[in-house]
Amino acid sequence: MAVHEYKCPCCSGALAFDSSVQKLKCPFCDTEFEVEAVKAYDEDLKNEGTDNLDWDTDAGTQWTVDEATDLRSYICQSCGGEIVGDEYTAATDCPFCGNHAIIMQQFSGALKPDYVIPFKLDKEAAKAEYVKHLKGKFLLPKVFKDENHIDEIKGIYVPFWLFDSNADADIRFRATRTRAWSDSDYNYVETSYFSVYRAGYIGFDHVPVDGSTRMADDLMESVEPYNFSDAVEFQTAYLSGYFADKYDVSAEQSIGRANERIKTSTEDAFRDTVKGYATVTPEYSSVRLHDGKTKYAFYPVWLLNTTYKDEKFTFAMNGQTGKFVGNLPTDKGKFWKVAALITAVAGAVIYAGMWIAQLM
Amino acid sequence: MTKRIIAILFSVLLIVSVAVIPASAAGESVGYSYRFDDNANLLSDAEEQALNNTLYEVCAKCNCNIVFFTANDLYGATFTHTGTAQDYTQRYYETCCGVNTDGVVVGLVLSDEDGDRQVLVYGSGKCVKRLSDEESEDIRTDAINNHNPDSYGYYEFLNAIALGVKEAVPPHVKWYMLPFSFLIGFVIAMIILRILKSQLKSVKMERGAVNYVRPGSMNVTAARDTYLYSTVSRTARPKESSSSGGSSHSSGGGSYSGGGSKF
Repeated sequence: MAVHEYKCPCCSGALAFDSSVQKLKCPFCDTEFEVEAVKAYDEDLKNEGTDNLDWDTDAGTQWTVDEATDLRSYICQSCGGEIVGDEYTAATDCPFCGNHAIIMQQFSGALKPDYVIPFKLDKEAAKAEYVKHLKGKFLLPKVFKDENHIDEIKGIYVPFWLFDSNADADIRFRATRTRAWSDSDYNYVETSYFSVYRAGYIGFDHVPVDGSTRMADDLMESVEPYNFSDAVEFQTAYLSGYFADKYDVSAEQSIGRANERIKTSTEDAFRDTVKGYATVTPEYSSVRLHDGKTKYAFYPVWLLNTTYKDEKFTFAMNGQTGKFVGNLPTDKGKFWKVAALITAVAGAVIYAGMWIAQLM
Repeated sequence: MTKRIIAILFSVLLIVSVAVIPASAAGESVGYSYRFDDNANLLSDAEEQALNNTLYEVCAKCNCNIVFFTANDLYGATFTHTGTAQDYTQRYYETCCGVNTDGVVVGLVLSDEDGDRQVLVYGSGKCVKRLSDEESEDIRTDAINNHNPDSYGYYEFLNAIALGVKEAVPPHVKWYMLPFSFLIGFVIAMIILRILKSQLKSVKMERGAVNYVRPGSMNVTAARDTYLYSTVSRTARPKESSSSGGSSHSSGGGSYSGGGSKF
């Protein structure tokens, strides 16, 4: 299979997209290029003919059927090394020369993304946010904080399905109002019940659903929201210097999650129009979607991995907004020591208070 | 960390000791007095002396004023009162010891406003908290049932009340309040730690898609609020009662706990 990388017009080094200047930059000669200029230059280079570095060799053993199904090998166009990925690898690094490689086949035909939000924040920003993420966490193990080592940091373009839709809604709530008064003998509470009906419509744009099973859905939803105004038409040049996977969850498979989110927010939006009641409980809801459209986009995510006590911890940072998330381990020893301490102090204070109340 | 926690635990024990030991050791009646006025002449001189000895011990143990009196009826008082045995007893105490001073007054009135025999036990000042209405009732009930003056004489009756006061009024916290206090402490600890632990969790699924609502796209085309029905629930208001536990109440002067029993 063919691998594509954008070469520097000055020194032929592999170009990488620099999020800070929003241009392609050569890491060897530091020359910056506009994405469009490099794309045009790349077309010219293609006309000169491309290298064919496929090798036909009898060395090695045959892959099993399962391995052959999952694995893909690509040839680095810089050094000729073999890059082994899987059927979803779309952009990666050559393990031999470190050059950035983009697997063009993953973007051919119907698989090509419609949009991409380019990285706005670089690896250093991800590291800084990670350090900030560890601060102020009382129950975080001290060793985890002090060692502060990160096994791996990767900038990844994650495939997302984006859902646009209009929603018509008919929703009925059961609502109550209460009124209280007293006389000399009794306290009275009057509860009035109402049937509250709301109908209308609402629109949603670019509701994202993670299209990769390799990315945890809760992790990907936690780094939201993304601002779609920064999205641009997809060009492979933006992938240079980052990793990327093509989707392995189809748009059809993602519809359920998109519907769930849209329905919840539609009900919430109409619930917010019901005012002046003590309680409001949904009784009936009908949400009908129409004019639904789906788009395929790559969104930027920095992934950081670290290991603590043989457990792997994964953190993610939104490559556009810098929102950083990731669950942290709990220092169980400290947890129970602090529990004992608070119990002892609070219990003693309460008991002493009872005695003081007797003495006062 | 461990050393620090041990140090704090020792401090806690010290706090408890400081609060509890002086309270337990309170046996001296500095500035407090006791008296017994047998206005109805129910006790012999020897009985009176014996009861005074008991009251001395009660005063020292309870660290408060102790006033016992007997009266044939509510007339001929040197102080003003509203004509009830309760008010008579409370004004009697205030005449002897002042308003809201720390003390217990026990009155035995042979003929109250209704012509009935009545015994009254009230706490004043800090004794309002120490002598609950229930404890006062227990003392009176025990004396009436087990040391009834018709069977045992008035000395035995009043002495039983004095011993009941000696048992109930010193500063005390029921034993089960100690584990109960630490149980509450544990609940507080879990609430605090739950908040601290939540800081470590930042990964969760989004609830909806509120960030992706198209601006200005929402339109409510129909809105109806229809009244269905009403229900009215009624709960009795708590009444102030002389037999309710732990409350303090006043009938014109200071605040008192306790009550009276006719027998």
